[in-house]
Amino acid sequence: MSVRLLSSDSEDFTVAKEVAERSMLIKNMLEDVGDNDNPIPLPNVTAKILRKVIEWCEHHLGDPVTNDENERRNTEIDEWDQKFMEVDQETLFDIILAANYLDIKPLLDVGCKTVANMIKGKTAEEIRKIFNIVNDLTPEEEAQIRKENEWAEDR
Amino acid sequence: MSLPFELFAPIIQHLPPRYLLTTALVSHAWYHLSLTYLYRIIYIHTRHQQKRFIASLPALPLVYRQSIEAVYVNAGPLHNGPFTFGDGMQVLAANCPHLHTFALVSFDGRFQSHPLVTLDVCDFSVSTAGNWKFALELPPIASLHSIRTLLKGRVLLKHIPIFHQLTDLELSGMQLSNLMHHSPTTSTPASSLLPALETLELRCMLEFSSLQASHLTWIQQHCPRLGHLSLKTARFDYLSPTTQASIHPSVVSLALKDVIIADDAWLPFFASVYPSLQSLSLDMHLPNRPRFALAIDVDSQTSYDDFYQELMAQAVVDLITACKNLTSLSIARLGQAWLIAEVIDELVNTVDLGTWDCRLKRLAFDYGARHSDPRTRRLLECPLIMQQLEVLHVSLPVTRHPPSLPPRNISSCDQFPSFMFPPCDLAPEAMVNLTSLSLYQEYGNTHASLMQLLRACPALITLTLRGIVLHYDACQTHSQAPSPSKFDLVTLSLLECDVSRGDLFYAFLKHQLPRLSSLAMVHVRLNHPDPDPLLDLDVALKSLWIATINLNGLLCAFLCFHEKQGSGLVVRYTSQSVSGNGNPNVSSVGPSLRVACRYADHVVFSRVEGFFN
Repeated sequence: MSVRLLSSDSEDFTVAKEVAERSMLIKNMLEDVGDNDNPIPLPNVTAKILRKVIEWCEHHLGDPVTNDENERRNTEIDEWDQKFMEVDQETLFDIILAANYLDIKPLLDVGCKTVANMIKGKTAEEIRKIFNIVNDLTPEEEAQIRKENEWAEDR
Repeated sequence: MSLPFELFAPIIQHLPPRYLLTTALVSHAWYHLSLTYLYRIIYIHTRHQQKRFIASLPALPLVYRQSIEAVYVNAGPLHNGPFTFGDGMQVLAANCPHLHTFALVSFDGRFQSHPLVTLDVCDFSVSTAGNWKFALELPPIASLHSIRTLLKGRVLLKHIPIFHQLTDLELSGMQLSNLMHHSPTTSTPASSLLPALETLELRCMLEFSSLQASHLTWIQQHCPRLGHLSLKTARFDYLSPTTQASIHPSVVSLALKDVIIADDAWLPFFASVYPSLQSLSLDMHLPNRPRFALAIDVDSQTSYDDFYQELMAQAVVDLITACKNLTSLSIARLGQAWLIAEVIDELVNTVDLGTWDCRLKRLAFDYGARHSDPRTRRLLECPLIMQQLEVLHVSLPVTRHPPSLPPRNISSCDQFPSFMFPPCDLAPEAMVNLTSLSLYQEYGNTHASLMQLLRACPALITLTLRGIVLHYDACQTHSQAPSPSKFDLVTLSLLECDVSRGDLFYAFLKHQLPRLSSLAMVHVRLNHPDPDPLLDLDVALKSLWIATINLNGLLCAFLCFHEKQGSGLVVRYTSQSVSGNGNPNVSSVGPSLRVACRYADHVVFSRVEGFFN
């Protein structure tokens, strides 16, 4: 049983149904439309990103689904996922956006953990650069924030 | 390219607290988001930190105070002296309307369920006597669901209005008696006092006469959802043969900690009250003689002693094998040290005979120092037990002759107990499936080879060594065997260990453990040819827990922690030693321990002397 997916740039993908159903969005759509040969249009995902997402879903096909939020948060990124996420920053962000849109929670988790690891050890200025954020805090506000939360430093 | 703002929440929740201090400085929007997560779960490591937190809490905007769900306070030996929270409790109660959990955590393992520190020594736990000091005056907080510490005497009764919502509770024997008086055993389940309770820890602290079957019946009636029951420092006296067991099927885990059992009839009684046990933890003193022997004339007793002990071992084995779903078994004490060896041996027999369908995934036992004989080996080489076992905690015997020679000069270590653990003629498949191994030696003079350990346990993720003289090298026979150059170890904890060659050990950590994410070294003596060595790691650590390190004979006064940024090393953190009154005191002398890695989520350092005393 396979499903056809249509990327935003009109590339047609045929994947096994259980692979496509890793996406809650597609799963719900399939339940709604029933058996039907028409491709499912995914206007928010390009072919390049969809290919990556399908690759991920195929590799993780047999994974048990855990709803325990703590467990999901605490598990380390496995080696395969680490390699998978070794892409340029734009692709990484696109994968996260696609995982969010397609509602694939475990992929979104891996993406978010990867970005979280990028943040670790960076200064506020470096973080602004990565995410293209304008600093709207005054130096006084910064000093105040530091002072208020200083207790949280491990000392 | 930028991410929409709503995706920053799932990203930021993966960050441990210390990075949230930095992300809060990015922008107004990030500030608000970061602080909401920073204040969700509060971890307090040191008394100095606790003081600063309590002082800054009242001035914190309500929106962040509202987000506080849990407070975990390290009450373990990282504090100098006994734990006090003082007025802090009133401040917490007054300022945290959504506080859900309050827990004092200590080294004996309870931080481990949280991402903070994965230090696992719980089965050989530190003394419990000091816990008296922790009895808290926690004021009632309307939102509280979980109290994981002992409250002071009658303070508990003030919490009765929130009992219906509690999921975790710790009680003293006295408090249990008071509650039984307050709300006697009834026959209607609707009137149970603690309907939501899942975990109960009962600490009787010997002030209390003894636990009766009626106490267990009360617990069964008032805690219909109880899953985890732990009985600490309790006494079980004579059990009347006519006592009816009231079955408590929801209980899946029973832990007896420092319990005196004066009548062996309790063992089958436990088996009938708790038929659903998946986890059983035994730390208890059994009587020297089974009950029927008490009537026998004293003079004729001596020749029966061995026979009685055999019966006692059999009673313990019967309890264990009666739990059909048991996946976790821990035996810390049974009174006589060799009784444990007897029980383990008998378990191996029953498995070999096919009368016990062993499903253990986790096994912990402590033989004591002198009684670990070839039987340890028999267990390790019993495939029906070892094949499915994932976690093993075991005490090691004293090695025969502490070698003054470096391991390379020893030709082989094939006898058991041997020069080194593991011995080189141990069946190669003995420990291949273990993912977690903890080795312990009471007197601290057992030698082990790190290389050989990891070769014998290729699936190992967590290694905890306590009281071990640690060598990097193996004996000559071992050294010739092929060995992978890298291992998958994620968590390494050394407690009360001697590291013979610090340089080899440091190089091993750097080059052979690419997945290391948690490193704890507590009360470790390091001998390093370099007077000021740098432990240079190429990994990102989740936690770095360093306490009482003795470097070349001198106690380390500071931790100097470097972070690798770009191509250079940046000093991120230099510990200040904190004196008894909580003020930083920079005048202490002693070398500093230098550690470098990409980054570390949690860094804890303490230089407390006499850590385990």
